[in-house]
Amino acid sequence: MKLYFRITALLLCLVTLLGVLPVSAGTDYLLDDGEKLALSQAYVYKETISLFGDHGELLVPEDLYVDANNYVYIADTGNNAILVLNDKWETVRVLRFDGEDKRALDAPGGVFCDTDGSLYIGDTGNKRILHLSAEGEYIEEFGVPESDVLGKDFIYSPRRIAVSDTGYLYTIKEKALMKIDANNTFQGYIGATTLAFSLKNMFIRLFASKEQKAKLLNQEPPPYLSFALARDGELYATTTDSASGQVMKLDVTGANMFPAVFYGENSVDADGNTVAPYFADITADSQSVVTALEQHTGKLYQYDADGNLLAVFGYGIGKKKGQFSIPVAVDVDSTGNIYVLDSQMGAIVVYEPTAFIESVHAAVALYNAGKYQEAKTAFEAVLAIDGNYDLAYEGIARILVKEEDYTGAMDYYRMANDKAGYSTAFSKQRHEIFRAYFFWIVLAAVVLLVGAYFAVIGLKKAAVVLRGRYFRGQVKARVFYFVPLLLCMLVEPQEVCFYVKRDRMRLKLPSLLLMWVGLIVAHVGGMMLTSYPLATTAAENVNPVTQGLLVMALLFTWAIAQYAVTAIFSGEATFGEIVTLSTISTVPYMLLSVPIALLSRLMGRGEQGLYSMLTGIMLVWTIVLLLRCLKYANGYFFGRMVLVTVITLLAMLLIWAIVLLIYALGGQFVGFIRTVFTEVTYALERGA
Amino acid sequence: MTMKRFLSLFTVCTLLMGCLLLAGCGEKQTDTEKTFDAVPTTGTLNISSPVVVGESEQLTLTAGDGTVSVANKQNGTAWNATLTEAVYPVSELTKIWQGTVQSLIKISYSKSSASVQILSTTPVQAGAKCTAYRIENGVKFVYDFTALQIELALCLWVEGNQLVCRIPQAEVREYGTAILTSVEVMQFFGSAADTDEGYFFYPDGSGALMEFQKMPEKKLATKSYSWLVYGSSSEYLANTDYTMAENGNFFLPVFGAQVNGSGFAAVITEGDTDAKINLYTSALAVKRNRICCEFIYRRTYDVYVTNLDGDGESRSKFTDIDDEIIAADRELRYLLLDGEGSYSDMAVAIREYMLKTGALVDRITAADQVPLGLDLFIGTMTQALISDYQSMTTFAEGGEILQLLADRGVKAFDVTLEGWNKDGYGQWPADYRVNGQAGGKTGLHALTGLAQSLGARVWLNMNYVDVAADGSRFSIKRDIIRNRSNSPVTDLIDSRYLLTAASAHKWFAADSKRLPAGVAGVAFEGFGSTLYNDYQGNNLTERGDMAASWSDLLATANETVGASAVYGGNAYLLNRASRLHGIPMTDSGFSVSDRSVPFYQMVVHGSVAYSTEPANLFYDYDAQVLKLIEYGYMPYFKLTYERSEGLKSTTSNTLFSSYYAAYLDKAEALYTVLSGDLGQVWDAYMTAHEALGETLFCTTYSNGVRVYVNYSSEAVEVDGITIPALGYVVQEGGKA
Repeated sequence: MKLYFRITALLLCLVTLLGVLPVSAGTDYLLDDGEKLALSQAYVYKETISLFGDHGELLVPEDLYVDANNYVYIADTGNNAILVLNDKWETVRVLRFDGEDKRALDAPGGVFCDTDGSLYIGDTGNKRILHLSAEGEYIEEFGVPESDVLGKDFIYSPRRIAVSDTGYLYTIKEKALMKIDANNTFQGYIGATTLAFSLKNMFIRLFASKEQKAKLLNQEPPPYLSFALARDGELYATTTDSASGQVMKLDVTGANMFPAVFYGENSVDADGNTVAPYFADITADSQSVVTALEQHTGKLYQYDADGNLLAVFGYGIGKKKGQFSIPVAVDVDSTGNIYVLDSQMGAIVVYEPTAFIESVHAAVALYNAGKYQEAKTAFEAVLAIDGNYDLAYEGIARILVKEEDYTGAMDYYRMANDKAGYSTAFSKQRHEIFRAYFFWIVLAAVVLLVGAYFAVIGLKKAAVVLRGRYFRGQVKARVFYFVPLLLCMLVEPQEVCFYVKRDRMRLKLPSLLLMWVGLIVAHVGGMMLTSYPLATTAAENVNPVTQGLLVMALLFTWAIAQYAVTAIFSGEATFGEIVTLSTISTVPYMLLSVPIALLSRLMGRGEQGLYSMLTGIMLVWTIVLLLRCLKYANGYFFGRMVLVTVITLLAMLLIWAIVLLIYALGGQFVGFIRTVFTEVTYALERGA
Repeated sequence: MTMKRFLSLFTVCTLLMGCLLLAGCGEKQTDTEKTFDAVPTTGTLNISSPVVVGESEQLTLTAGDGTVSVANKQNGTAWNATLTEAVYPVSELTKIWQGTVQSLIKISYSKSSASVQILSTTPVQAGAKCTAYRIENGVKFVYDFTALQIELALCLWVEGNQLVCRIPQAEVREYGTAILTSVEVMQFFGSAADTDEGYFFYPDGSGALMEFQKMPEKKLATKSYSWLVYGSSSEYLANTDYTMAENGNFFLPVFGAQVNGSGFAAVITEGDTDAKINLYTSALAVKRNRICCEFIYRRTYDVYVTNLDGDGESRSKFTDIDDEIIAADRELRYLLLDGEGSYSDMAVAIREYMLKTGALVDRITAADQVPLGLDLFIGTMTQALISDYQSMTTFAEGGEILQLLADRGVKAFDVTLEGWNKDGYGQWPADYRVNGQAGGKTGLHALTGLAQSLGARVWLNMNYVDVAADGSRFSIKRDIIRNRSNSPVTDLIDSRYLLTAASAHKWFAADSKRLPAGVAGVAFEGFGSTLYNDYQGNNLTERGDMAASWSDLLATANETVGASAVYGGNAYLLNRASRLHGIPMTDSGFSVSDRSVPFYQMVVHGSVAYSTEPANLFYDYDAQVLKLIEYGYMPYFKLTYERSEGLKSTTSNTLFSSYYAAYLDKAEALYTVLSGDLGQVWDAYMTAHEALGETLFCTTYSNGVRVYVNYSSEAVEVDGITIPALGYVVQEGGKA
C-alpha cells in the first residue's frame, strides 16, 4: 500500500511542482537534497587584478599557485611565461625566455612552487617539467619518465603539477595521477579512475559483434581535470566521473576517501541543455578545507576534510565585479582569501572570507583537532549567524554523543535532519536504559507477550462465536455490526464474503463510513507515531486531510478498477459488495498500523530490517485478504483471480494515468490555443 | 514569410476571426487626450557668434552655433555642452563622431514602423535644419531632420542655480514615415578625460562613483552602460535565483559629475519614468567619459514567433516597436553646485530640490523616537508535494516577543507582519483575510492593542505586484499585465505574473475595507522596486501612468489606513511613503564603479525612515552594524517565534536565521546603540559624508553632529578624536 502512495506521490510531483514564487536571495547557498538552501554570505568579492605592470596583459593563462608567503605564480600560457607576484600584487619576476634559451617555455599549463622557493613548471608544449631556482636559474628538467611500463607511444604533456615534501613529482596523465621520483623514474599511477558500470554496455557486450566489442573496450574512463597537493600531504582531485564522485580525496594507495556521491549541480546552458558540473580546479588550505571551482556556473564549492559541503559561493558568470568569464584555476592564500584565475578576462578575482565562514572553518578545525569543548562553542557561534546550518547541529550532536548526552544529541541530530546520527544516539541511549532497567523491561515484555497471546486466542474464539450467530440470524443489524465482521475477516474471509453477499443490505453506509474513518485514523496515526529515524515523512509534516484523501482515492480506484474488470470476466460481485469487502479486507492494516508504529519507537536504524518485516507482514496480509475477497466474491478459481488482479492493477494505473493526462493536457491545450490566438492577433495587427 | 506558413496562419485566422473581432472591438476606450504646451518664444536668434541668452542670480547661459555653455558666477566655472577643438582634437575623429561631440542631442529612430531597424543620428551628422529662438532666460533650438521628417525642439534656460533642458511634447513632430524612438540629451555636458580629477555619480543601489583617473586600471569594465530608471518588469522577473542580478536598483532619476573641483547634480524632472541614464567610458572612440540622460519615446522589443512550418520548437526573433509615442514633456535639470561639488553636495542639492517640489516629504518630526524595526514572519505554505501551512509566529507569540523587547527597554517599534493573511506569506495574489491559524481577528486585535500600549506601530505587509501562476484568485484575462503582443508578461518558466494597475486598485479597495482596526499602516511590496507598462486590453498603461496609479494607491492607504511603507525606494513614491524597506547598503557592483556611497541615504535621511536587510541575516555582524551607523539606518530585525528550520521547505527559506530567542540580546544592543547617542540625528538631514581613509568614514548631520566610523582592526586618531577599532564616535555639534 505504501508503495502505491509513493507512486501516486511521484506522479503528482511531476505535475504540481510548478509556479513556485522564488524569493530573491544572496549568492551563497547550501545543497539540501539537491535543493538550494540560502546560507549566510560565506565569501565576498575583494578585488580583481588585471594589470601586471610591465608584463602587460595575460593571454589565456591556465594555472596559478599561491605559496606560503602569499606570493602568486601565474602560468601565462598564451605568452609562454611564468609571472611571479608578491603579496602586494607587484610583479617580482617574469620568467619568459627566447627560443635559444633551454628554459624557453612553450604554452606552460601548470606551475608549482616548492617550499625552498624553487619553481616547477608544467611546460606542456615542450613535454617536460622544468625545475628552476627561485631566481629563475635552470636546475633540471624531467622529460618523458623512464620506465619499461610506459611503452613507446606514451604521450606526455604535463600541465598541472605538484611536488610532495618527500620529493615526488605528481602530474595528471589522463585518467590517473602519475608519480615520478627525483631521478625522473616513473613510480606508478595512483587513483586510476574507473569506467562506471553501465547496463547498456553490459547488454552490448552480450550481443555485440567483435568490432563493436573492440570499440567498446576502447572506451576510456573519464580523465582527471585537476588535482591539488595539500600542505599536509593529502591529494585532492576532480574528474567528470559522477558515478564515483567528481571531487576526490586520495589516500596514499589512491583510494578515494570522499563519499562517492554526485558533487555540484547540473546547470542549464543558453540553449536549454542540461550541463553536468565541470570542476576545473581544486585547492585545499592548511586546515584541509577544500574548494573546487565549477567552470560553467562560476560557482565555488567548499568541502571539509570529510567531503561535507560547507558552502557554495561566488558571484557566477557575468560582467559585474567578482564575476567570471571562463574561470580555470583556484588557489587559497594563508589568510583564507580565494584566488580565481580567469583565462578569458586574463585576471585574478579575489574573494575574502566573511566572519561567518571563518567561524565555520574554526569550528571544523577544532573538531578535527579533537578539542570538543571548544568546538562546541565554535559551532554555537556558527549557529548564532546561520540558524539553518545543519553541519553545526551535526557537529554539536557528535560532541554530545561523545559526552554521553544522548538525549541532547538526539535533539541536535533531529535539527540537522540526520536520521542515521539520531539512530546511533538513540541506540546508545536505549542500551543505557536496558542496562539500568533490565529486569523490569524483561518483565513487561513477558507480560505483554502473554497478554497478546491470550488476546489473539480470545478474539479468534469471539470471532467464531459471532460468525455462528450471524448465520443463524440471531443478531440484528446495527451500525456497529461491522466490528465482528472485521474480526471474522482475519480468521475466515470466505465466510465474511458469503455473509456480505447474502446480507449486504444490513451493512449500511454508516458502518462503511465508520470503517473508512478507522482506516484513515490507522493510516495517519501510523504515520505520525512512527519513530523519527524510521519514518518516511516527519510526524509534523503529515497532513491528515491529504493522507485521508489519498487512502480513500486508492481504495476507490481499486474498487472501480476491480468492478470494471470483473464485469468483463463474468464476475458475480456488485460494486457495493466490492467496496464493502475491500474495506473490510484492510482490517490487518487498521489493527496493526498503530501498534507497529508504537513498536518502532523502540527501534533505531539498526532495526530497520525488523521494522520493514513487520510492516511487510501487515501489508502482505492485507493484500492476501483483498485477493481472497476478490476470489470468493466473484466465484473465481485461483488462475482467474491472478489474471483479474493483474488486469485490475493495470486498470488502476490507467485510471491514474488518464487523470494526470487530462490534467496536463488540459493545461497544454489551453496554452496552445492562447499562443496561436495571440500570434494571429499579432500578425493581423501588424499586417504581416 | 513562406507561402506554407501564410496558409497555416490563414487557416487558424478564419477559425479565430470571430473571437478576434470581439476582443478587438469590444472595449475600445477613448482616453481624454493630454494636452501639451509649447514653450513661447520671443523672436529668432542669430547665434553665429556666442551670445548670452539667459542670466540668473547664479548662472549665465551662452548660446553658440548649435551649442550652449553655462557659467557659474559664484565660482567662475564654466560647463560646455559639446566638445570643441580647444579641449579635444575633434578633427581627428570620424565624421559621425564629430557630429556626436558637436551636437546637443542624439536621436534614435526607425525609418518606418513596418520594417523596424533602429538607427541613430545627430543634427550635425544628419544636416538637420537648426533654428534658434529666444525664450525667457534661454534659448530654444528647433531641429528639423528634413531627411527623416522629424522635428523637435530643445529648450534651455537658467533658473537660479539650475540649467533646465526641456523637450516640449507639443513641438515633437513626425511628419513622414520615420518614427522617433529616443532622444539622448547633452551627452558631453560634464564630460571628462581620464586625466581629470573627479568622478561621475550614478544612482545604482545606495549610489556609486566612477573615478576618472582610475579608468586606465579598469580594462575589464564594459565600455558603455545604459540603465533604465526605476527598473523594469523583465528585470524584476529575472531576479530570482542565487546569482547576482544583472541590473542594479535605480531608485532616483539623478546623476552627477564632479570635474576638477566643481560639480553638478542632474535630476530628470519630467519623463523620468521613461528615461535611461547612460554612461560611456573613455575606452570608446571619443576618449572622454560621459554621463547623460536618454528619453525614451517608443519602446523596442525582441519578439519571438514560433515557426508554424517548423517542428514547433524553432522560433524567429525580430525587433518590434511601439506604434504610439509616449506622450509627455521631457525635462532635465542640472543643478550647478557651489563649492567643490562632491557627491555630498549633489545629494544635498537633490534633497533640497525634492523637498521644495514636494517629491520628498518630511515624515519624521523632532519628537519622534528611533523605532526598532521588527518584522514578524507569521507563516507561509510549504513547498512540499502536499502543501501545508507552516506557522512561524502566531499573533500571541508576536505579542510575547514585543513584550520581551519592551521589558528590555525598547520604547518604540515599527512592527511589520509578514504572512498575517490567510495561507501566510508568498501566496500571491493573497487572500487578505486575517490568518486563522495565527490567531485570527481576535489574535491580531490583541496584538495591535498590546502594540499600542508598548509604543509600537503595526504595519501589514501586502503585495499588489506579484502573481504566482499557480494561484487561483486572479483572472489571467483581466488582472495580468500584457506585453506588446498581448500575451501575459511572465518569467522563463511561466511561473510568475505581474498585476495591472486597475486590479491593484480594485483589490486594495476591497481588501482595505476588511483590514483590522488598530493597524498603523500598510507595507507595500513591489511598488518601490520595479515599474512596468501594460498593454492589457486596448487600454495602454504607460510606466508613468503606472507610477501615478501606485502613488494614488499609497494616498488611499494613507487616508484609509493611516500610513504606507514600501519595499524599495523608487522616487515616485517618496512623497507618500513613511518607511522604506530594503534600501541597499552598496551599489550593485558594475565593474566601472570605484566605490559605493550613501547617496540615497543622504537624500532621504531625516525625512523617511529606511532599513536594509535584517540584522539577523548579517554575515559579519560587527562590520555590518558599523555600516548601519555610517549610513544612518534604523535598527531592524526579522524574527520568528519558531526556529527558522521550519522555513526550509518553503519559498521563504532565505530567512535562514530568525529564532527570536537567539536575537533578543542583539536587538536590544543594536537598538540601544542606534537610539542612544545616535538618536539625536534621527530627525536631522545628512549633510556630508566623506572617506577619511580606506576604512575611516565620517557622516555629518544638519544639527552639527558628526559620526566617525572606523572599520579597521586598529584604533585611529583623527581631528583629535580617537575612534576605537571596529568602532564609532558620535561628536556633537560645536565640539570637534
